Amino acid sequence: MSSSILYPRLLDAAATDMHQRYANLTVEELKDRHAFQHPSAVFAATGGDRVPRQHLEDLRERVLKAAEAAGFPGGGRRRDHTEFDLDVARLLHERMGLVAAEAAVRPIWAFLALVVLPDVSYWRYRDPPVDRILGTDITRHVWGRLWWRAHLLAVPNETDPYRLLGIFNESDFDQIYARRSLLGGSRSVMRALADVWPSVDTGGFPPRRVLRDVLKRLLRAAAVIEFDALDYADLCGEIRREAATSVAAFRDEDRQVR
Amino acid sequence: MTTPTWWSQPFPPTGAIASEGIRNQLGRPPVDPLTVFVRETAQNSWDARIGDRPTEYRLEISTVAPTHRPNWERLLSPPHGREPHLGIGRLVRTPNLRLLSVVDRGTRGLGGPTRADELAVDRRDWVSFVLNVGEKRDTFQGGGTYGYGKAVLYRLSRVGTILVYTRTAVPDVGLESRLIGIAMRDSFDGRETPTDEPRPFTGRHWWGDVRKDHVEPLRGTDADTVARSLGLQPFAEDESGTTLTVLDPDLDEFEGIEEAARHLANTIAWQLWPIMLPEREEKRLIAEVRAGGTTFPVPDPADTYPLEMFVAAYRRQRDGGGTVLECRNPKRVLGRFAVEHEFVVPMTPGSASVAAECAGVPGDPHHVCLMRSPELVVRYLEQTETGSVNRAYAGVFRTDDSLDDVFAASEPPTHDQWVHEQLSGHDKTFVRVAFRRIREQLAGYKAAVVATVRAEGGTALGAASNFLGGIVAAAFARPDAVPQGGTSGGRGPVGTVGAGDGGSGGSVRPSSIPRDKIRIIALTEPAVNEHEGRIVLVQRFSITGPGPVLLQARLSVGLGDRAREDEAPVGAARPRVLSWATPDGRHGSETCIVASPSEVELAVLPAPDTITDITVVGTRVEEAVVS
Repeated sequence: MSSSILYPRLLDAAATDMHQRYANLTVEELKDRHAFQHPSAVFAATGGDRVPRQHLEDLRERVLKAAEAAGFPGGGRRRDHTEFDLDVARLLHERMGLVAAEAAVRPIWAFLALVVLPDVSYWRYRDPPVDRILGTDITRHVWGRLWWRAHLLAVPNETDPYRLLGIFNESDFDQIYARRSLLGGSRSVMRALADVWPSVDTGGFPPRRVLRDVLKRLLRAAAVIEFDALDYADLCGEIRREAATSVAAFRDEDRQVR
Repeated sequence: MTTPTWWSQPFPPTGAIASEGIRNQLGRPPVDPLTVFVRETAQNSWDARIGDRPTEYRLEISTVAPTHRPNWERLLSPPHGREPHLGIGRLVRTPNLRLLSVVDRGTRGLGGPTRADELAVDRRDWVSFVLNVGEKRDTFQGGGTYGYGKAVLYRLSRVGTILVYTRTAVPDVGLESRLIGIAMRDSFDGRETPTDEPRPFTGRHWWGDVRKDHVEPLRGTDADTVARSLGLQPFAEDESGTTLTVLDPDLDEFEGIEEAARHLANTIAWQLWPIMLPEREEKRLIAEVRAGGTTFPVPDPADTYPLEMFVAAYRRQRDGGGTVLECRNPKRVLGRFAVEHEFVVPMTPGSASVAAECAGVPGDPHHVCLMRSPELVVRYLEQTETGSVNRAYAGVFRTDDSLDDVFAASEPPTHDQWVHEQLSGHDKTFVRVAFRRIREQLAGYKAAVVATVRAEGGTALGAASNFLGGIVAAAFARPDAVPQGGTSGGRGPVGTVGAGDGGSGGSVRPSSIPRDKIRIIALTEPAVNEHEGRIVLVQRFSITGPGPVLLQARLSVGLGDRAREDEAPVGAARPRVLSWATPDGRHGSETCIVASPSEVELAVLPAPDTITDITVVGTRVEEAVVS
């Protein structure tokens, strides 16, 4: 990424108002409402180049194509949504040219959801609560959460930088995001965790439970170990060790219950 | 003309509440007595408002003039046998007898019957203020619930005595003046007349027109004549209202009466601002403080930092802005909330007025002002501090009218807190959830810094942004926002407690405020030590405030960035209390009870390879529980 691209920021009042109106419209009706600019959208004063209209058009076209593959504008199955999310996560991260600081700005996600992609947004989540659309919590935003997923797991220098994207599902990520101030913000830990995770033997316990416990252990360790300073292999080793301890603790607990 | 005399209440065969019981009904007020005094008397005056004109409320510190003193001595000296129990005879002979008066006008005065055993048609202000204790008030949008607060009047007087001079409308008579004296001293054994058998007395005394077994007030011209000869503020022709006069008030903690007056004026601003705002027009309180012939203006809350932030938040929620806080299960509107934030140049520690400290806001605010329908300040609830010293916020939460009764019922006699434990069922939930919702509303202030620090896992920008915040704030803050003008004091060198400053405008902060608050201060950093072959963490704490104190150690694994673990991994070790070393020995228990003031040493067994977060909290143990 040479220089960052700035996206329009949709002001809160307008966004809230649009969301209220759009919640009652059908996907077909919303399709006609899409646009690439909005009178209540503003740009940051500095920090990069303003996104060209053509770039937004291209983005919409690509997202639409992915959506259609997943059944848009029809209902679509659950599995299709999962695949759609993965495709879009990759697409947004690859194509948007955002830097993390800009991606943490809520109103750009509101702009994307309400102005550029209203039809797909309300198709992906029927009757969405505000945070899915306005980005009050970016980790729940229909598009924002996907960009961040990709951002945390991308391995820039490999042939397939997004190979780790599918390791964690939505609810796994909720666990990670819930601890974002301490762990979820660290790309190296997330990447190592995703790298190690498929090879962890969860000993027959539900992987989600084990993941939750491992995250707790990593939190404890993160307070005394600077993970970002560890060599990648050491970091993976550390995570493997915590996972093994966790599974052993589950076994112990299990035995005591019996 | 009736000559007033003293009458002491003997215990009736069925028993009665002793004077000590009444004086102690407030419990130990956790704040300064003058704050309670202002809150209580203003609430009384406000509840008595007529409503078609502003209510005047004036506090006056004065001394009995030499021309009036012979009258005080002649009229108020108790009979010989009672003087040891009243002490007023000696007091009225001292030269500069000091008085603290509460004068309200534009109010109804204390009306209704003057005997507690008479049925009242509509009003019974006299009975509930002068005679009864703990009676439920049912004024519409009235501030109080039970009239326990008046105990503060007696506690403030060194001789436990007040005079009540009121003028009120009496059916078929018109405006009638009434004058009575009330004293609350210790209960004692004595004789009603020198020839009687000895019997116990409650310690409650009244001064007025003594009848067989009770005391009537002086009425009409008798009352006005006596009041005038004592120098009490007279009433105009068609004026009603009340003057309460506290004899020999205890103002020892102040350098002089000017400082006491200034404190009263600031306290009025802090405690009564919602009912003083000019936009309330006829329905507002106009307050004033006078001392030694000088008027001390009450600071304008809308123009005094940091009160103005609360005023702005209050106005916003009142005018439909802010947020409606709701309880979801059961579904119910709890009240309205608004918050105001500002970039500020931080106040220097100790520069806040004593009144602000007593109100619980000793610096730049991060507080929420709680109020019910009567819109009197219940409390300034301290909330999470902002990430930067340059950011301050002030919120207002006002309960919904439909829940006024519930929140009122949760208040202690001093009306300065909402205690959900006092309630049950849904009511309990409402009060508890209200606090939680307020916390949720303010979560953003705390998260701001913590969340941004780790966003890229790289360098923390929080510190830099804090510095930059200082530069920016200098441009925002108004020049007069920092030194708070002459009214709030704090000019004297901080820390020279009680040192003479000549009392010439600069005020020195009294040392003892806030009193009666348990403080636990870490004396040392936690240190790693060895105890019987085990690694332990040792930290020393000092405990001050009212004791004995129950100490609890809240131990958890620290996660860095001030975060703590709320749930440990499966089977993982957690830090535990090993022992408390107190002045009377070592205790191996989870909690311990110590006298106050004292010092303790806490030893903790840490969980291996983790950060240990130690917090010690103290709660006061009632003596009864210990012994």
